This record gives sequence, C-alpha cells and structure tokens, in this order.
Amino acid sequence: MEEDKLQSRRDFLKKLSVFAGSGLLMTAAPGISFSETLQDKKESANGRIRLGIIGVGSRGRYHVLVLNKIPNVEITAVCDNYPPHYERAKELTNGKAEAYWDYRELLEKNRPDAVIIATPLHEHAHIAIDALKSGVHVLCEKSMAKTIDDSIEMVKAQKETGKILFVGHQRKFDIKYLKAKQMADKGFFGKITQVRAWWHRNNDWRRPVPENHFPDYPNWELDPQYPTLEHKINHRLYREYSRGLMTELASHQLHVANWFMNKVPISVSGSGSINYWHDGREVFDNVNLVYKYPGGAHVIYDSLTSNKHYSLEEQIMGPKGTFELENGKYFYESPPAAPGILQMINDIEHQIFDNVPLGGKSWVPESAADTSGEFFIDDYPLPNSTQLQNEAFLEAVRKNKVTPGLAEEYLHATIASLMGDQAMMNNEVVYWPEEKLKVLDQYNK
Amino acid sequence: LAGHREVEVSDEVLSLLMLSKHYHEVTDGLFNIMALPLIKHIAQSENNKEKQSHQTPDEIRSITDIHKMKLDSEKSTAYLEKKGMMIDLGGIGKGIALLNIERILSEKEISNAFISFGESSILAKGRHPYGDCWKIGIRHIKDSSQNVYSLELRDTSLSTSGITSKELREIVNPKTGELPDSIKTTSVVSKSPVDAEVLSTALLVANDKNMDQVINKFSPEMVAEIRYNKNDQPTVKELYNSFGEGREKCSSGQARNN
Repeated sequence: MEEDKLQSRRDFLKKLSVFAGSGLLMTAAPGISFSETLQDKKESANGRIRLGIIGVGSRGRYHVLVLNKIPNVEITAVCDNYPPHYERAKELTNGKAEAYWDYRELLEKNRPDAVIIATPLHEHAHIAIDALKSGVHVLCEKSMAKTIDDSIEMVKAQKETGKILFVGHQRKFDIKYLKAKQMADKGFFGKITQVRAWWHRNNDWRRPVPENHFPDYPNWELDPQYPTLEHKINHRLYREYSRGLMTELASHQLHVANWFMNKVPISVSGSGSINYWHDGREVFDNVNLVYKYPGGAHVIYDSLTSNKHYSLEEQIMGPKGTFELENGKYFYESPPAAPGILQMINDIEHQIFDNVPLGGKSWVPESAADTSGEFFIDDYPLPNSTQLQNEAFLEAVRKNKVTPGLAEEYLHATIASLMGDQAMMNNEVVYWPEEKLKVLDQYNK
Repeated sequence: LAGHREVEVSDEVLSLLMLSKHYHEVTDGLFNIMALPLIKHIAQSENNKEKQSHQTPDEIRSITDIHKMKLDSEKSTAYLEKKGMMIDLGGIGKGIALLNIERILSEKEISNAFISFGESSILAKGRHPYGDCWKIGIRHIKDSSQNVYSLELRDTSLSTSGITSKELREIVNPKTGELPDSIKTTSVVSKSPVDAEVLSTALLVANDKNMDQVINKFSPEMVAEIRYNKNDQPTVKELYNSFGEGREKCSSGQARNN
C-alpha cells in the first residue's frame, strides 16, 4: 500500500479499536466478523479480493473512494453504461480496472470474487441474481428491488448459491447505532412502543441533464428502456425505475425500526401525494405512513421534499427513554430534577413560597444529565459506517461465510418500504406478505 | 514555580492566601489549601494498587505543609518552597466570591437576593418574594425527589460539602490522609459565607473528638450532618444550632411594596 493509504488505514483502525473491545461490533449481527479487519493485515496475494463495481454514479463513486482506503482488495473491473460515469470509473481506478459497458461481460470476462451494485433500483434484482448465479458475492445498494417478488428472488438466489448478499443499509455498521442497539437490547426503553422517523429535504431531487451528445463516444446509444436521457439521469422520479422516497430514503429508516424492534410490521396504511414539485415526476414528493407491529407498537413515518427544518431522525421510544439515532443522543424519561435554582424561579413565577431544593449535583459532576440528552458516544469522529460495512462484506467474502439471517433482514427492510408504497398508491391497508415469503422456508430447515 | 522562586501576587490573592493559613490554624489543620498532592496520591494508589505512587509519605507530608508556603506582605510575594506543592482554593473560593457579591449587593442597596453557586454555596439575603425568608430543602444525594432536611435562611449563607460515593473521594483529612468513613454531607449556616464554606469542608473530615472543638472556634448559626447508611437511608444530626427552639417560623405572604 502507498504511505497515505497506510496512514489512513491506521487512523481508521485506531478509531475502530476504541469500540472493538466492547462487543459493539458483535451487535451488528451475530456472525459478522471483523477479526481480520482489526488485525490490519498487510497486503497478501492469496487474501486479496478481486472486486467489480457495477454502476459508478454518485453512490458507486463513493464506494470506489471508500474502497481505496481498504487493504487486500483490488477493484479489477468497473461497469457503467453512461459515458460520463464510464469515463469517471476509469479515472477513479487510474485506468487499472477493466472498464465495461455491460455487467454481463464484466461477470463473464473479468470473473471477480465479488461485486458492488450501485445502479438504479430497477436494475438491482437481475444483476444481483446473475452475479450470485455466476458464483460472485454481492453487495447491492439499497433498496433491494422495485418489487417484493424480485426482492424475494434475490434472497432465493443467495440461498441457492450460498454466496454472500449484503445490502447497503450502512446504519447497521454505524458505531452510534450499534451502541444504541446494545443499550436497547439491554432494555433501556423498557419495551419499544413507538418509533417516529422522518427524512425531510427541501429540493427538487433532480440531477441536471446534459445534452445527449458525447463526442468521445459517437456510437453510444441510450438504453431503450429510457425514453429520454432525463429518465435515465432522474430515474428516482419515475415509477418505471424507482419507488421514489420509499426506496431511496425510507428503507434505511424502516430497516432501523425493524432492527431495533427485532420485528417486522404486520400492516401499513398511509397517504402520499405530489403537492409541491409539479414537474412531471411520477413518484410522490411527500409520503406519510403508519406501520403496525406485533404487540401494538407503531412506526410513524414521513418524508418531505418541500421543508428541511427537521431534516432526518429516527426516534425510538419506550416508557423509560428515547433514542434519537441520527443525533446520536438518548434521553431518560425521568431526568434528574432540575437544578434547585430553576425550580425556585418557577415557583416565584407561580407565586409559590416553597423550599429551594438543593443538593446532589454540585458534588457529583458525573451526574449531570439534563433534558438536552446524552450522547451515545463522545469519541468523535467515528469510523465511517460505509467503510465498516464494506470491510465486513469483504471479510465475509474472504472467509466465504454467510451470516445467517442477514439477507432476510435486508429483505424485510425493502418489503416494509414497498408495502408503504403500495398502501399509498392503492389507498389500502397492506399486510405483511406471509404467503410470498413461504418460498424461503425451504432454505431455513 | 514551586520550589524555584517567589512570585508576585496581587493584594487580593495575598490576603486570600493569608486567610487560608489562618483557617488552617483555626481548624487545627483540617482545612488545607495545599492538600491536592495528597488527594492525587491517594487516587493514584487506589486506582493502581500494584503500582504504588513514587512519592513517600514523608515527601507528601512535606509538599502539603502549608507552613512551607511563605507569604511576604511587604513585597507582595508568595513562595512555595518545595517542588510539587500546589494550591487548591476549591474549599474557600466560592465563599470569597459570595462575600464579594454580598458587598456589591449592599452597595447597590439590593436587600433581597438568592445567590447559588452550584447549589453548594448559597447566599440568602433578605426574603423570598412570597415569604419572609428563603426556605431551603436539602435533597437526598441519590434520590433528588426526596427532601432530607429543611432550613430557613434570612440574611445569611449556607455551604454544603459532601462525599457522595466511595469512588469520588475528593475530600481527605489533610493531616492524616484518612478518608471520611461514610457517605455524608455537612451543611453550615453562617453570616460569613467564607466561614460557612471552610467549616463545612473541614467538618467533613473531622472526627467526633475534634468536631466540637472546631465548631466552637467559628460562630456558625447552625451545623448539620447528614449521614447515609448502606441502604442510602439518611440520618440528620444537628451538631450545632444557635437558632434555639424559640425561633420565629418563617411565614408566607407577599412582600409589601414600601
């Protein structure tokens, strides 16, 4: 490795080692291993993974940048069918990776050990299934697929091939979340009775569309599944390719809700609309849903694109406390009493003559806990969660070790987000697809 | 510059150091602004039982000896004779600050005020807007919803010191290095906020024998000790009370606008 890569590796491991001893990383999923990651193994030819990147748009590009910091992996192939991204993919890998226009060719000719799929949503399922079936491990960006059936097919392919399938819900590898999950499992809240989650933005969610003319690639033709280049660039806005906010944003947070509750929803109802961005888009610009979970807990979810004041959050609540996961904070339901002086001021405002309560605090500095909450982790910055996720994936690939239940966990997040979409589209209560999932039972015997 | 040379200090600091020396005498050594190295030494040997602190008891005794702090009022200098000596004004600083605040309030002719420094040092001047004194409730150290002891203050000050857990041992007997034997807090009411703070600190580490002796050298209005047993049950013991039985109870009622 070059010197700066080594240094960045050392920094990452240093940050990570703070948390490694506490069993925190075990919480991500029993069965996910970081043992080699933590050992800072030197480059070795036999442990080296040959990796392909399929789809080098904004997320794919980020993956390449993250992978450049990880030892024992070589990006041997890149693939994109859009000239500017194809060009960028070659540049990012310094021309060392073989560049392909078609993922099938990449799988066939380059024969990588694993691929990362960061294409538009509607391309996930068939690429992932083809990769798994040709013996290649897969890390696919979220959500899994555009339909529940396709998502189940992906897991089926994983089961049949015995290959590894990760989905890019990187919060599962975020140290804050892991710490919170550990606390939640120890009963910090008591029972989780409600999760409120939202993702608010204030922009049109569009990417600029260039002229459909790339002089260096005179023979390039737009994939016929897109009527115009606008459809390709802004695939997130069209139902043919995406389920909009539900698959692009909500699935992350629904994954977190399922994960923290150790449950999947029974049903969902809700309402969505296009109430602001009347620009020809087909997906909702605001979504609003209520998921019902076993035991009567609910997840209240909404996503907006016309106001960003509350940005994004997952609030996990129970009778004893609240987590705000994005914030990295938790709150006790009964915080220690307010400082005596505040109580006195309050009394005076209400014309009450009573004791000024004193004591406790000034003698025990550690006891300070007020309504502004406590941080899960006070050792920032934290290791990058996408890097941690990718390292876990690569280590699983190296050991050829499938983590039991993990593919299903990702599947459940995608199903929850697609159920929400269906509920809003059809104005109906949508129930958990028990029947459809039975097809996976045969693999769990 | 401890052990190297004397340093010039302001009149205010000089008088504060002199006052601290005076309190050291009056409390028979229980109050000592030089005790920090001893506290650190104890903390170190408790945390690290195998690796004992490199300092010998004699060395510790020497660098916590307040007589090795030489003050020169002519030249306005202070000199710590031994390397490693440290001054910690934690047991007196808030009292001094309250004394200054009291002076400012008087200058501004403010007759009713309640000043709290972290709830441990209080100046209660005049009366509450809806009562004719300031009522105080000292809370249980572990359960802040529980009131353990009530006090009524008018034109006086209150200081409370305490040891709240076995782990948090910030207060040691500077003479013997002994730690207080149980979780307890000591509250002192005195016209002088400095007296109140020094006495509450000193009494925390005093034993039954020297306790009365020390209290008698001050003129507090009231001294109370709250001890907590293993089950966190508090017992309040009034060590001294000059208010007596016949003291008029504080009553509620809005202040007249006169």
